[in-house]
Amino acid sequence: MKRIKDILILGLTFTVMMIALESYIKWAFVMSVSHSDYDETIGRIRRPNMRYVWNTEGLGVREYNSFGYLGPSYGKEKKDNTIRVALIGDSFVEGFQVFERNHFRSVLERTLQSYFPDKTIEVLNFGRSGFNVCKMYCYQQDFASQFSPDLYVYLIANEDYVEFSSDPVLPTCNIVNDSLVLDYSFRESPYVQKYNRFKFLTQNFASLQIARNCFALIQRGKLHKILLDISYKANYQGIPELNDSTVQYYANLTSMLFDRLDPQRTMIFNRSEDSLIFEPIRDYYDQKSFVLHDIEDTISVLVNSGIETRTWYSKHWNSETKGLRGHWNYESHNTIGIYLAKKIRRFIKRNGIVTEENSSP
Amino acid sequence: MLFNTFLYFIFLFAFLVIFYILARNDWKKGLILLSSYGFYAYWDYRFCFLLLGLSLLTYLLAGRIEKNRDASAPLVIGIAVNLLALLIFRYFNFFIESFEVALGLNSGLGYIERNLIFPVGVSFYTLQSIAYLIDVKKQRTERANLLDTLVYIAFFPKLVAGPLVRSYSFLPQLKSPLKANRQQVESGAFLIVIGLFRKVLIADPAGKYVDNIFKQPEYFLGPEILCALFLFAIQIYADFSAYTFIARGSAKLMGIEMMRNFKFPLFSRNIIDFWQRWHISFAEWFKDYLYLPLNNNNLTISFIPLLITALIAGFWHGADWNFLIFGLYHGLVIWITSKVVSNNYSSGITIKLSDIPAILITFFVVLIGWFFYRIDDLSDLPIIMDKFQNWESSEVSMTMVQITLVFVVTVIILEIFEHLYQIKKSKLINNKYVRLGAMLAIFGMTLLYMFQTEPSAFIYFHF
Repeated sequence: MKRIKDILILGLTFTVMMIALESYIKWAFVMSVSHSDYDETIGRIRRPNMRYVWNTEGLGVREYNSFGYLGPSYGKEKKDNTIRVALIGDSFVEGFQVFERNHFRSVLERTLQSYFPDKTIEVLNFGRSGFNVCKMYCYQQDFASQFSPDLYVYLIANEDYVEFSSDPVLPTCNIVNDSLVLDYSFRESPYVQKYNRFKFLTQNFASLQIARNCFALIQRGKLHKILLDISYKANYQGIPELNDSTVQYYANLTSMLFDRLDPQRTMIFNRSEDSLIFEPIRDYYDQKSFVLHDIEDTISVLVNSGIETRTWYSKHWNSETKGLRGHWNYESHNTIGIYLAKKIRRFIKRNGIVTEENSSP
Repeated sequence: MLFNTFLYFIFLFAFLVIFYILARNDWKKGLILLSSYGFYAYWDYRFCFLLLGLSLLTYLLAGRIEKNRDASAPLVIGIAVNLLALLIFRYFNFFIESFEVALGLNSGLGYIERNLIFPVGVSFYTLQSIAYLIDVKKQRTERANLLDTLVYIAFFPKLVAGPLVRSYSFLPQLKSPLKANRQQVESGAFLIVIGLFRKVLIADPAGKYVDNIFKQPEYFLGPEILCALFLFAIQIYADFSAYTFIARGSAKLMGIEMMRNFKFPLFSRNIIDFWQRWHISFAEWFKDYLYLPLNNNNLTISFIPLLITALIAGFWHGADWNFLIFGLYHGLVIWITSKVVSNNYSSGITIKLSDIPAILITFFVVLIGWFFYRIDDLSDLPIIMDKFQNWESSEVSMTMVQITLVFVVTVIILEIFEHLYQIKKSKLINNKYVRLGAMLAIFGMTLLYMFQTEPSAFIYFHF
């Protein structure tokens, strides 16, 4: 009897302490709960009205608005005399690493507003971490388009043209019989049912997120490396080498996707600091009416002035991470915001989105 | 090797297994010595040559001092060599750069001379060697044999960040059988678990906010910088106390006791009280080996000796001007406090309601000191002052305040929990299953978090 009582005391204390630790971890934002939810149409979405703190790289204290994107809550109805710009891209556009007021979306909005004082400028951030061009396009079609933007601005890096790992709760793009097929079969997949059943756990318990991260690392074979202090950048998986036929496949896929975009309302920026490595994709831009702008044009000014442009630079000996860089830092966000504003101003004037008399000189 | 890595615990476990297999005390001490040098070499094997050289010199000079206590040369040489090592490896760049700026000259030194390796812990073991030589001279301790001297200086739990243990409390323990009793094992495990929790789940997460905000204060607003300052106070306390906890805990598992370095400093009633609770081994070292000799062994507070001690103690923290300001600030505040307040407080955790204003004022006084300590560059000072003068609320103020409060409250709860655990007067915490349940939860959660996070060095490793 005493033994049972002792075990009960032990179990009870353990549980109470775990609850206390969970509360601490969650309220101090030591670890964030899951940012994701599920939408029947779109798949994995951001959780509307969720506040989060990102401090693993840079520092961002942000909140998804009531519609589930970052930034001010601009509704689906666009008011008169308003120019709406939708930013489409990956984690660099989502920009967890900085506060909203320092994000290039805010800088862009402020700068564009100064260019068009008689208009209301609204810049909406539809960037999503891990998105490649396929996911970006689907997100534009399924979600961003509901907000009636006048202009879509894509920021794409070399690695975004390729699908390295597929999220089972998002659509995929394939070429079938020389035609583009957008595959939404995830809606019927058993994974989604499982995800929906258990999502409340990861949405509410930060400690489960920690456990999940550990499990993922073990699955990636990092156990002995972490135990023996060999690999610090344990989260990095590396980009596999691509052969010519794979590059050609993704070039074709990209051209089919971009053929569906309206060149009068779409701008594409190469956000890589390296020039475009995929020649077939470069050829596509050369042949079509899209102009590929290089963000490197403005970033290089910072680099040449000796200003760091990323949140971190890998100096670790480990060949896996050598030469890697983090996301854009404050200086980059500021510079990119101003750079984009200049390019967008020219574009929207040239394409008749706003007439000359509405803009400041 | 960092305490907050799995490798350290694998190392400690393997060490303890062999330690308890060995029967003779000398073999155990030999194992400690080997392990300590291995532990140190994990950073850089070259560090070991400096450590060994200084230890051998200290041993030889202690022998000279014991033979002829009237001769002052061995002590002077010992102090000079240790200080020289400290100056060369720690402050060389600072002095060169300061002279270059002051005289508008270029010393012509190359990259290698400007980037001498910094042996972690050099500030700690040089101070300990000096203290040992003085103690032998003053007959506070006997000269130890070679093995004991080497173990005393290199003992791995305290090698890189203290506590600055005294030879007269440490060396006698090496003479008695090295074996932990049940109470030491329990208490050692408790200290390690709580220490690891403090480092991994309090100090490092708080530090992420602090590092980001102080790195580029121009991008942040007044409330955010203020929160970062509060969080730094939490970070540095959690970080440094974590190191001491794990160091003391590891030593206890070998049956060796080391002094407490912290006695609930958050509950200090004035700045003098604070320095009796914060980094105690360091404060006492500077009192015994610098302040008292400067003040003719008089315990009363005198301005000039206090200021010299405070400046040197500040400079010990880092080769930069902000650490000198930090030292000067504390010296001045201690002196002013000594004129207006009597310090009759016990170093406990128990507080009366009437103590709360004094505790809050002391915290703010300490916080101002931390501000000088933490800023990355003195050129950030006007930027931050401007942010405080032109106070603008931030869209994330409330979130930052919430985060700061949660950290502060957690540390206070932890202090109370540790106190209750140690005094064993709480019936609830006295129950061994309650203690075990709590410890298992804390340890389990800490290990999980540690597994998926990059380990970061302890702040005091830089000193």
